[in-house]
Amino acid sequence: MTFAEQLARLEEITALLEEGTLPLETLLELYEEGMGLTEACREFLQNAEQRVATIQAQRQGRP
Amino acid sequence: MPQWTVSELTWTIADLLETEVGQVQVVGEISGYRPAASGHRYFQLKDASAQISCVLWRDRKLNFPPEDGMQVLVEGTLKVYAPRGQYQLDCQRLTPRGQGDLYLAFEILKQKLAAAGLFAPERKRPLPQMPLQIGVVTSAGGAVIRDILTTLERRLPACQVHFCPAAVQGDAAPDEIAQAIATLNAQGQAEVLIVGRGGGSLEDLWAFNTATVVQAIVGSQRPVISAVGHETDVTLADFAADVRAATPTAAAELVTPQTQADLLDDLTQTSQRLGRHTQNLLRAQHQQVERLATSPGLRWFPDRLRQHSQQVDDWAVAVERGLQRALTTAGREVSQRGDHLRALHPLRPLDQGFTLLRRDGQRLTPAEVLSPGQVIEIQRRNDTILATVQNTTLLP
Repeated sequence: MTFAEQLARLEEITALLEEGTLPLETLLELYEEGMGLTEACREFLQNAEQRVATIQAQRQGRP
Repeated sequence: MPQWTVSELTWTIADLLETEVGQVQVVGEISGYRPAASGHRYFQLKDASAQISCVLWRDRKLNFPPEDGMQVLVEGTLKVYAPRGQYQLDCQRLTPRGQGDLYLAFEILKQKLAAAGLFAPERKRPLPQMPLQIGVVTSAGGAVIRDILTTLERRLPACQVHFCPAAVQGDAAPDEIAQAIATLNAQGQAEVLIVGRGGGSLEDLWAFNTATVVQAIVGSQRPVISAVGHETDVTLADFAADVRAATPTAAAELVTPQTQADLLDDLTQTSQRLGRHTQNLLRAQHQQVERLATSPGLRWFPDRLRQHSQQVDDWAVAVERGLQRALTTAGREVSQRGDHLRALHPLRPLDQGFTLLRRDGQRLTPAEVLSPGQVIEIQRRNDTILATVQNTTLLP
């Protein structure tokens, strides 16, 4: 899944959980998936920010 | 006296003229100018009291359109045209004499070329935005090429100059200039051409007023910037060019509208913007992830689960209580029934001391009257007494 796809799925899951009409077993699975996705998204963004910082630091050396 | 033939006489005259007179420079007025179908040009050169026939062979250069009445300087050789017994001037070179005639020639050619549509604005091509290969046609070793190179070096050090030198005045100039333009086009590397020369008189600049150069400029596949003479000099090459520059330096500036320094600044700014934009984007995405992570759906789910299990516990308690209550109620009812049953037992009054009377095994009804001497059974709690009636008394 691309980052954008993960984010979209996360929105979908939170909406379903808030609606709460699905069976509890399904909600539980969605909850698990949602928590996994937030973890993955956070990690992706942290890596991206790190890369940008590295690239900019490398450029500082050049005029 | 020797007797000659006509030919012999004519050859003697020819010999004499060619040896004794030979090469001359003659000034005169053109008259009866007519180009023949062959391409050779015939005309008379005259002054107030004399005239002489002239021929300019087709392979000789003619850098302006001769007109009757024009004063010209003719350089040529005196020759004899035997078939007609005529002496004539075999012209090597024709030059308009005096500024006035030069201007006249300029005007004539300008009108002719304009009429052919060579100066039309629609023909003008746009200059390339950022040419890195620039062609230059001018004299070798002069101030022009030096100025152009200096300016280009300053503004766009990355560019490459293709220099094709050519004479910029004299008879050979128009052809050399045209050839240089053709060569740069044929090599196919220069993206734009600068064609020019330094300042000078109308005669000095004349090569840039010839049809040869104009046609070469118009025929160039690459756009041409003309930079001829000073600000006030205007030549036909300027009309023909796609853009006219007042000076060679101006031409170099036209060709480099954005200097390398400007471009580097742009790039630096762009890369900074790129960095900022990327950071903003990441920040925004981060915020969105956090918003979703802390949204009610996810945040409250564990509580929801706990609520569910608490509910289950409540039900369990309620079920238990209900069961208890039911049991207690049932128990109470059972005892009540039991008590009730016990109260209804027919022999219960016996415990309280009442007796049950029987006669002949049958229970005595309350209305039954007994006579003395009858035998009755008296059932008590613990025993039965056999008795004989002595007396009965009716109650009032």
